[in-house]
Amino acid sequence: MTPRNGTSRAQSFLKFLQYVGLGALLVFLSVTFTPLPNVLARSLSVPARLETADAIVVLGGGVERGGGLSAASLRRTVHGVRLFGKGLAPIVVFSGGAFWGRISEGAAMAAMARELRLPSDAVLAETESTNTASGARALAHLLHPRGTRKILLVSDSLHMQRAEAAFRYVGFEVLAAPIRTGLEASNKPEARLFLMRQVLQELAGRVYYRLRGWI
Amino acid sequence: MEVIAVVSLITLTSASGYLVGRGFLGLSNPLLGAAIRQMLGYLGVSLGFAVVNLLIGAAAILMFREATGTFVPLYLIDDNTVIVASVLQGIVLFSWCQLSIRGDTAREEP
Repeated sequence: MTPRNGTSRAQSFLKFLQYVGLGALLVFLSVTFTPLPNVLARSLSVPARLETADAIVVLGGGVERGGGLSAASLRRTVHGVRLFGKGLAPIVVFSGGAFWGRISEGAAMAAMARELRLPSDAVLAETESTNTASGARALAHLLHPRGTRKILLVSDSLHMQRAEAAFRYVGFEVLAAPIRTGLEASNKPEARLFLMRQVLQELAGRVYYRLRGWI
Repeated sequence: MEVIAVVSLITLTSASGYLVGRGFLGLSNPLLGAAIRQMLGYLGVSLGFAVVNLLIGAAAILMFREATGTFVPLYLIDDNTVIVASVLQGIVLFSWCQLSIRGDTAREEP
């Protein structure tokens, strides 16, 4: 390759990158300074259906390195306990496996629920699943033999559409109990950036689940 | 309110930067356009690296899962340092291209 060919190829490459950069800048501005992420988040949300069910199912949202619940797991646990307190179901099932030798999400949330005075005979934990779809399958295996079909499903609102689909796929009748984190309505540019990241992750997750035949 | 505050701040500091550049440093206006295009180029190549980093990371994790049967979460690569590293990678590649073009151009001149 002569220097002239290499130079013109590099120049074309730089020009192409400038257009890509312009596109990236326009996307960045529209994400941070317009309600676009909020609109997309609302399109992913599912309305709450707080009715009586056979069980309340709480999906794990992570466990910290020291064994404490992540913020997502904590708010989901509290929401599940509150729903139980309203008498909407006789049991609460906490779902989520363990990673990197830490305590499982299911066990950690169940322990927190007991600390919040949930009766031990009303608490169940599923501790093997590694994602939402495997959690749905594990809970179908655990709950269907007990005659549990109708569940109140607790998760963050952005995650609810995919979670609902995964649980319906394995035969549950799902009543959504989504948790709104406040991020979906935020006007702060940084919060919108973070919200857009979560929206894109959720959309990618849906595509992946569809390709794997989990929803 | 937050949007107005941030936009106002950026507008103010950008205008200040322009005045400092023109008034104090004596920089020329036509080169400002070239500088902005260069900034877009850095942004474009950094975005490319970010996408490639994430795709390769995700593919590696999924292949590891399939090959070993061991679950590794995709969130392993969900780290802001990947974005920072992508920007640095982009700066290096873009600068390398530019310096090469300048070097070739200088060699071609009689």
